[in-house]
Amino acid sequence: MSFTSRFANPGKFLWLAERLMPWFAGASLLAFGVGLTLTLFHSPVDYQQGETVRIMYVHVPAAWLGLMIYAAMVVVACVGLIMRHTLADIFCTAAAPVGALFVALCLITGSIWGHPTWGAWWVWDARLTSVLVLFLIYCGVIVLRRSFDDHASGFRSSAILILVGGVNIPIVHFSVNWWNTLHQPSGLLRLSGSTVDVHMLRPLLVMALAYVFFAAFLVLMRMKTEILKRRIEAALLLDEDNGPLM
Amino acid sequence: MTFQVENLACRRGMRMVFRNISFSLRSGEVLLFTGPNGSGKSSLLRVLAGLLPPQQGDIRWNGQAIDMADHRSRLHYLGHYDAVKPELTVAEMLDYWRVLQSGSEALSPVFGLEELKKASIRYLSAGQKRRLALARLVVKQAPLWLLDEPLTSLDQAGQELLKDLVRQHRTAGGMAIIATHHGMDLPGAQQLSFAGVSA
Amino acid sequence: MTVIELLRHDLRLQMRRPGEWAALVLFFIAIILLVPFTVGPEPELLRRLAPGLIWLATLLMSLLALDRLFVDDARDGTLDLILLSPLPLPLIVAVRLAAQTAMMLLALMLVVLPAILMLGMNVIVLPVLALGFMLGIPVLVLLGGIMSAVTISLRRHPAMLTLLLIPFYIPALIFAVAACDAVASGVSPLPHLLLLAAMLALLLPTAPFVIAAALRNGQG
Repeated sequence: MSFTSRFANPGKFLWLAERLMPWFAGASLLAFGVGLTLTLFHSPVDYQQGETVRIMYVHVPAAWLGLMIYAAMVVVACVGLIMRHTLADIFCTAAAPVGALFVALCLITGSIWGHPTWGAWWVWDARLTSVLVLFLIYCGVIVLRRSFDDHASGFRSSAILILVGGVNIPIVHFSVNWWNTLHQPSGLLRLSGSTVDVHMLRPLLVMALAYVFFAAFLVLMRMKTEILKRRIEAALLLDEDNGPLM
Repeated sequence: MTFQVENLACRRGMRMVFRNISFSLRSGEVLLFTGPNGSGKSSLLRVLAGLLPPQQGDIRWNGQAIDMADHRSRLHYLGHYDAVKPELTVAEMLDYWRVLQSGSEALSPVFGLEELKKASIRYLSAGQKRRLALARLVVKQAPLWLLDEPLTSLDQAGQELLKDLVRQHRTAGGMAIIATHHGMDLPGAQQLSFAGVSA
Repeated sequence: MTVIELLRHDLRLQMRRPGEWAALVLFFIAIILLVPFTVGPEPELLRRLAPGLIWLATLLMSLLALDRLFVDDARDGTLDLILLSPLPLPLIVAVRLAAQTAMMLLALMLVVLPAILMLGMNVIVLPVLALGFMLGIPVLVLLGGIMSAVTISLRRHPAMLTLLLIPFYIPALIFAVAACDAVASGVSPLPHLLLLAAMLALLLPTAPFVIAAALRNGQG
């Protein structure tokens, strides 16, 4: 019934993580190499936007990763609430900033991509706005989890937030699209550009894969750090002599 | 009826508040937690009330692992705070507690608060508010009493009345666990002493 | 009946703290009052902005009112009693939320008319605004309740609740204001109101249980 403080499972996980991390690092380097080559030299130039459309290959997969990581957090939070496993907390704590990083990347590249066309650094485009809200959701999750000293109740509260936030994301996406169509100013260029043809698809998918490997590497690294940090905490706890006299 | 606790430990953030707590209590018995402030007495009472999950350990009622809903209905918990609302009158407050605890009859104010039925709680003294909080113990029968510093703010008469209440409760077969840094003079009480802790 | 008695208690408590609700009402008025000094007094502009501004003020007011939900009980030990009560926790929570909604609607009734007059809002918008309140205020209260419960054991960081709630308030804000704008331009507000109603339909049966779970956990 209580949140276990034994670290048998996280220990096994640590062993697994150590084995996997180099592979993910290598795979992501490889995928980035191929992806960037395709992006820079083998993808078509857009009729209206010229070379700057290439930023899309950095911008779009970042959004996908931001969503994918959150989806993973939702699943893990569910499992963690039901099975009360420490690893769920460790995953969510590790993954949230990584997800936020990708979302921030998406926002920044989106801004850079749009600037030549809009003449401004920010536009209340439907997708950018949705992504901004996703970023706020991530920030909320991160801030909430960090405010708890106690791991057990901290996980439970942030898991609830993650789940409720997960339900909210499609609602926000829908409502922001709704809002955007109501207020559509004329001549606003949508960031998605023209229809995606197959030559664009290949670099996109390769870049997305590179992002996935890179994200996996980052998350594993952060999980490892978190597990080690908690081991130190546990050791400090056992050191303190503040139990009652029996 | 027996109330058993084995190897209970509680952790708050970075601190191990208590560890290796075990005891057994039978009908009519009283257990006193003594020790300085901050030594974990309050946290232990909250764990026993089911308000705080333990880090590890077992809690058993009559030999069976406790079911939370059942457990809550057989105990009275009196915390540090009186849970009184300054905006209400004494009668209204008692009425709310009656509804909340699913008591069947109207709570009668005890401890000399009868004349203050219509008084707004805002004007009560600290001792009167504490007596008001004690009224919750009387309305519904519950075999297990968990009292955290019940003597706070009570004058001599109030303390005697509390001891009377506890005595009657024990005679009726109930058990009580009382945390107090004053120490309480109750016959045959077991004691669990909490050592002082560094902050 | 238990529900009636609980409701009576919650409402009684709220009504006996007029100072706190006066502050909220004043805050609402302040926003409406200050806006013309920021965007200029041009009637056409204010009329167009009116529904959005009124809803913005409502949103912010509802954010500030969140402390009235569970924080007081957490501070004085009543929350312990509630958690130990044999009554179903979601029920107690639902009654609390209902009382808060009622108080918000009452407070809004006081300020909405002056706000409409000051901003020169089109009169045909009024029924849709009212309907929007009846659908939207419960949504804001339910969402606020969830976040308040999730942060109940933390030291009060006023900024945190705001950060947590913004992503959740946005859809409700969009639909509520869109409904008003629709009727102002002679189009049917029904699609927007239905979406708002859908949000309420989603939250109403689930929020009390989510809040109950969060409150139970909060003591850990």
